[in-house]
Amino acid sequence: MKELVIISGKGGTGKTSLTACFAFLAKDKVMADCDVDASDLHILVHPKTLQEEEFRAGAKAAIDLQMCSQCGTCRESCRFDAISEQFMVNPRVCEGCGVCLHVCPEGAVSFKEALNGHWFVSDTRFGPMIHAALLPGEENSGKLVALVRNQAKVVARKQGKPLMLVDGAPGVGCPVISSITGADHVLIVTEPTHSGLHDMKRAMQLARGFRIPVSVVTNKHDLNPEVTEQIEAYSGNSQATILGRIPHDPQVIRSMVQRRCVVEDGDSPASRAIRDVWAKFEPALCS
Amino acid sequence: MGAERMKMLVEEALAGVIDPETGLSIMRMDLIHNIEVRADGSVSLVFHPSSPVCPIAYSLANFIKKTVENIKGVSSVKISVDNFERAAHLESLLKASPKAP
Repeated sequence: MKELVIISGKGGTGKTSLTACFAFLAKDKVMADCDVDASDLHILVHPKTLQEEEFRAGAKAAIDLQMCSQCGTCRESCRFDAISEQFMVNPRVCEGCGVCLHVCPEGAVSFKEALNGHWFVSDTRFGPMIHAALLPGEENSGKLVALVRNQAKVVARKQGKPLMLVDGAPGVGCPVISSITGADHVLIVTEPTHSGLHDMKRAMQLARGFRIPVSVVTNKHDLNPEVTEQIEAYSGNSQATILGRIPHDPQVIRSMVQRRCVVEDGDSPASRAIRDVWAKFEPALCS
Repeated sequence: MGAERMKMLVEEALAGVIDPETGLSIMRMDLIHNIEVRADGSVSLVFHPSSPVCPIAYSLANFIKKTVENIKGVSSVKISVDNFERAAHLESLLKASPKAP
């Protein structure tokens, strides 16, 4: 089984849209939406949830008011101001550092595993998908990504799927690292803006740090040919494969409004370009 | 105790080993393959870390070995490791670690 992870560095470059197009074009695959902070691949692939589970990680403080002597030591020690004057812990503010547990002279503080989000096994119009939703303000997104990827691999193995398509997270932080470690290939989708170029460089440095082969696609390349050239020059110098360019195409938006992928809706310029990119990719990924 | 019954006990024991990264059982994560039990109580299995660079593979493998060794009737445990960059090194460490009395 081969694993392709699609990342972007900068958010909003078309990473999820391209993942959905690949999911439509790939014959036999499992999808994993690892952008757990803002997952929205499901909007395009219309999942029917088969299984939903809680994701719990980390811990939050809780104060037993029966045991608490209201000395205030915990409040003074909490650098996050998570403890109210009534000695209630605000779970949205508590970082779980544990200092209150150590300083409480009454032993009134305990730690409880926190609910961070939910994860799902779904069937979609393009095949099975594992996805998740982190609750607002919650942490441990890297752990949730590790879980989503693992369960997608379990489904792929059980069902004999040769390919796993992973929609990664933007940025270069923990959830992205968790998305790409051990993957077979990373595809960076970027756009011809200065921030797109800047963040693509960072994403590429990250992937190369893990010794993962990298390919690059420039979305809406015709909006700024000069920066597109810079993206491809940098990619070439970094031994990344330049897979192609996708033009700006209003049909992408029209399809998106219908919760469809552009490759499902006729032979528009973007659809042709994406099919060309996939045709270059597929032999290596599905062999 | 029959080999089939022993295999069930091994699977049950390993189902209680939780991966600290995901919070899921290692059996549910499909990290253990090819469990085999022989009449003399020797157990062999394949440990398949979730990533070739899994940062907790060493400690998890050690815990797996101890968990199986602690099952009554198990005489020895052999763990093979795949999908891990340092599989040979990890296997050699596991082989060298003696069973607790």
